Amino acid sequence: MEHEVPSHCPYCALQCGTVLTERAGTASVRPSLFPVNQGGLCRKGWTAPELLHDRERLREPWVRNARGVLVRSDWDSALDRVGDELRRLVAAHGPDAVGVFGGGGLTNEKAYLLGKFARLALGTSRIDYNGRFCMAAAATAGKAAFGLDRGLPFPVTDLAEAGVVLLAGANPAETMPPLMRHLANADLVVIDPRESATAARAALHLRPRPGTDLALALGLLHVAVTEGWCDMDYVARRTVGFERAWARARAWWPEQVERVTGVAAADQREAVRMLASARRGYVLTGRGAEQHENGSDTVSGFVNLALALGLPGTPGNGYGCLTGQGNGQGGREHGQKADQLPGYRLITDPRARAEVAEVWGIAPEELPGPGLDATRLLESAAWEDGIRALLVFGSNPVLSAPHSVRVHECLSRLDLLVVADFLPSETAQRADVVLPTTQWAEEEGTMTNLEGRVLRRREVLPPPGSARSDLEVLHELAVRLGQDPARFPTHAPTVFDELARASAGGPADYSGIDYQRLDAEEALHWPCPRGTGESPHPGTPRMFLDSFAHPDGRARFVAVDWSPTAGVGERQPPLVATTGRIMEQYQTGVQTRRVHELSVSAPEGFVRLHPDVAARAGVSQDQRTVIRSEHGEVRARAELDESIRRDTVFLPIHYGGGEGANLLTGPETDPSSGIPEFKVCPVSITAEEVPGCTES
Amino acid sequence: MHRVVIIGHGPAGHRLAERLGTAEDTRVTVVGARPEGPYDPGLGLAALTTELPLDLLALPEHDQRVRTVAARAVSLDRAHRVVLTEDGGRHPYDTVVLATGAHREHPDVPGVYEVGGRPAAGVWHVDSPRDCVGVRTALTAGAAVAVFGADLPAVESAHALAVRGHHVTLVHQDARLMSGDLDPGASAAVARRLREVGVEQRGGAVPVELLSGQLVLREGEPVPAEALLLSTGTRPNTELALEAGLEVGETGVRVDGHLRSSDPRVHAIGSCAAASGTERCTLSAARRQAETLAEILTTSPERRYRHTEIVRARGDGLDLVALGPVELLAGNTAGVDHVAFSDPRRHRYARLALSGDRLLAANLVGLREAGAELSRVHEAGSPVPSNRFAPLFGIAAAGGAVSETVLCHCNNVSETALRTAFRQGARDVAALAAATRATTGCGSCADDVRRLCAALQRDRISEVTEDSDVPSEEDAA
Repeated sequence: MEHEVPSHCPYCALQCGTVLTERAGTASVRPSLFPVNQGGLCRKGWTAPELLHDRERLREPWVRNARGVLVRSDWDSALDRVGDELRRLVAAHGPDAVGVFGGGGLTNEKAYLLGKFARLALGTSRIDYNGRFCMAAAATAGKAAFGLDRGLPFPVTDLAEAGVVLLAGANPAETMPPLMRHLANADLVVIDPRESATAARAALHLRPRPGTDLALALGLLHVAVTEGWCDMDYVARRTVGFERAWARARAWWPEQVERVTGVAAADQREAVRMLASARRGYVLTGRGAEQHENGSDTVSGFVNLALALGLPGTPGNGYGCLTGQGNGQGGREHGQKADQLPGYRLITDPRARAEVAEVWGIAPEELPGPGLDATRLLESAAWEDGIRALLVFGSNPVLSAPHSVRVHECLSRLDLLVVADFLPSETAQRADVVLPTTQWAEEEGTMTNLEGRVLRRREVLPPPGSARSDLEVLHELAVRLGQDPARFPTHAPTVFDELARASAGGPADYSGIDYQRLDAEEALHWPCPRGTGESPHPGTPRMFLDSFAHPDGRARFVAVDWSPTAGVGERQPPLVATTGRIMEQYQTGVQTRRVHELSVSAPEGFVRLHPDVAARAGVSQDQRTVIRSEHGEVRARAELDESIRRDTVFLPIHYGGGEGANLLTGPETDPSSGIPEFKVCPVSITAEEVPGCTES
Repeated sequence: MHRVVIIGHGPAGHRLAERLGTAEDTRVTVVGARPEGPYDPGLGLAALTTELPLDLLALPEHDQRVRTVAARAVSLDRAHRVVLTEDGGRHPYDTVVLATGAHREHPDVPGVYEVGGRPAAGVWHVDSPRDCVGVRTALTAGAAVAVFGADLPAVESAHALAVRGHHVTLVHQDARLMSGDLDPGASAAVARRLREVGVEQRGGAVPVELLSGQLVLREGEPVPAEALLLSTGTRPNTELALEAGLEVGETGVRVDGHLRSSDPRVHAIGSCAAASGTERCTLSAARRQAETLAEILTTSPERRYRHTEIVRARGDGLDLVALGPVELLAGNTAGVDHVAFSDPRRHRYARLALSGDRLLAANLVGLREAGAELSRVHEAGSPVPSNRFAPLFGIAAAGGAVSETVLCHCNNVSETALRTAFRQGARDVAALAAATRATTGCGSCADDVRRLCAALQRDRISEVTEDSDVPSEEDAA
């Protein structure tokens, strides 16, 4: 007996359409003709079913015993232990002694219920999620500019008509290969300090020194203005704040920018010319532009350029951010973010509080206020009034958070660390209680992809062992904390209906969406409010065509400026490490490192460096090296690359142990979005000394 | 409350006021601020060629905490720590910053200036953004312009006006262009570059009179000049400093690494200061001095200004960079190696002075990536690339050794794997995709796979000619 269901790939934010086939208890996958992937699928997607049957799959709860060893347990004991501890800590230290750490891979239903659990069952303000490490800068800049943040405010398929696409710090050819199908016709302008797979296909490749992307964006705006490419009519009709943004960009003429970034002035001019004279043009940002301590300003710099050229909200043109995690879009909308309530509303907005409180059946005053961003949340374990327990759902902060050394210290101070996951991640291995959960092909739910389209994932296999859905875990814990069981439903469609109601009237309005419509394969992009008339709302594939989401309908230029930071002074340190991704792996590699085909082809961490840098350090190809920063050290194999800048080395983020890239990164975060600095870290590099072995 | 008085409101004074204006416990007064506010000289060149309204050229207004005084400073009384202005105002200070800029050197050519020193009609100064807007508005398409000067702004503006379609003649008294920054080879390459865009050049020429529509030279034909643009140099404005008894040298008010004059309460930045060691202070140096001084006066008293000489011509296609002392590019200095490259036909030129792997000085013309890369090397003090030709001609992107040809990178499918699949019965692109997953990632290898498949089919036909029902996809594409 074989049965097939339409589903979506479990990995990145493209959420490629797939057909899942179940046969004798095993699943296989093939790509569908879903518009995002049009029959394509990358290596990770093809091999995803392997994880459903992984040898190391978590099947039973594990609890750390008195001797400090994690031992197999049962659900009742594990949940009781967590419930007792949480009650004790809340009673002794108040609700903010408990932190909740979510993930951008959780379904919309899980993300929603997690936020509700934190605010209602625990009463804590301290919830945040790993999207703080990837999406926060673009979200902040998008909201500032447009009044609302949806990664791509247009369907991915629109990109196929583009003449020119500028990719700022994005490498989709490796991180989301099927996206490249939509970019095949466009001339690409790629901004990346190394020759990535995407840069190799660029019509024009700009290689700024890491940490100077904002200076480059300012230079591009300068060229747009001084060479007459601005759409001044659009600027006057549809935006405000141009003068203030220009007052900053004014001083960044291309030759000045060249001096700071290392990008030739002529190439800057060429980039603007290409983009401005294309019949259809897009500006897209990725983590390379965003993961900086000035990340939201950097994104604003690129948004300003797009606005000056009249792209956003103009049919066939636009600005967008390439969301990374599978539910990186939905994950930031339903209330697992420190400052947000469902519907992508601010927790400080009295109206939003009142509306959500009503859906939850509580008084608005009972809702806590805004909490700490993810980095501070983890750090707070070392504070007097910080967290003493942390519940982690679908995330691996031991590897993904910056400044690993400090994270390890902080986690070890906790009275209680609980991890709900389906694999023994590095974080789960440190936990006091590990709760095994279901994954994509074992559960019902919805995800929202990078274009704001809501998608169904479906169950085809039973979960292994006694693994439970995160919804059930939250239900059980809530009950143990004295909540009415009915407040924490475990049936995904029921949770979705509540989520939709709670989002009504918010920017990310799901109230017109339900499982019936999704199962009928309607293409529903939010906002999709509940219709008032006969026909339901059709969703909003393209936003901002008539007006932006600010009260006056206009987009905002944001006045931003570049100034040197620790990593990128005038006389910069000779070498900086920049972290990033490779094709075979996903996130911290917890999943993909376990897939045979992927681990064979990318088995270990490495450092990519220029042969000149290698020669000075006395390092040759494949030699083991030590990379040191102020914060820690990484040991990895050297990979020589002539195309990388001589002041930059590259490390992938997908590996653990002594190869964890975040052993090098520091505690700096962006003051406006909380995104950490992952892309600029001063380092030195030497060959690893082999004990007992002398050079002859 | 720390009282800072800034004298002068050009780019240096403005930037400093901007940076200090929001600092805590600091009260900033700018003396000599014109009521309409300063314009950004950095935008003058753009204003020559693009229609930019004057308000886009204005430097931004300051935070309201900054007090601006329109009156000019007439005296610096160090004994009483007070600045006196022409309107009788007294401005006490704890720290005073001289940002008095420079005076233009006026060429002594009859007809250029009216009595009283005002420029005659049709005469403009290249360092004034207002003048740049003025000359652009005044000139009709294709009109003849004479640019008088041999320095960087003269070269830049001649180039910009010629690219815009004007008939430009660059007139200068020197034997060659930019002799203070460039060696003879680089000067020649710049001259050729200008000629290429149509700039006529009259070097070693002495103008004797400006008549209507032409500039008369001592020798040779007069130069057609519906407008005359002047770029004849400046000298530091140091009167106030001299009168106050501060140490002043040839190149401006003497300052130390903290941009401090001989009186520790008096600082100097920009064109009036001798921070760069040369007479000229580029805009970007003035800006850096202002930013550094702002740090010194607020958060980091120990900060030092480090001058890095980078001359970078602005303008599309000019691609001229000069780094370090030009003297090092000539002759035989012990321990200095030279690397040179000359390509006269394409107006490209490079000369580097190196000591080991350190860059001491360089002239680069027409080499855009090299200019960008070596500027960074110079500024960062990092070693030059081991392959010294690499930065001159762009970076060679030599890929690593690949043991076998991978056609589909997304799914790591090699040509061998595709050949094997074909042998095992996958005889068209769809079947190959199903068997190997090739083409199913980003799709960019589809053409390669189609070509390989067609080739394999051809081979198969020639191998088994009797077999006539082999499908051919060769022309399907």
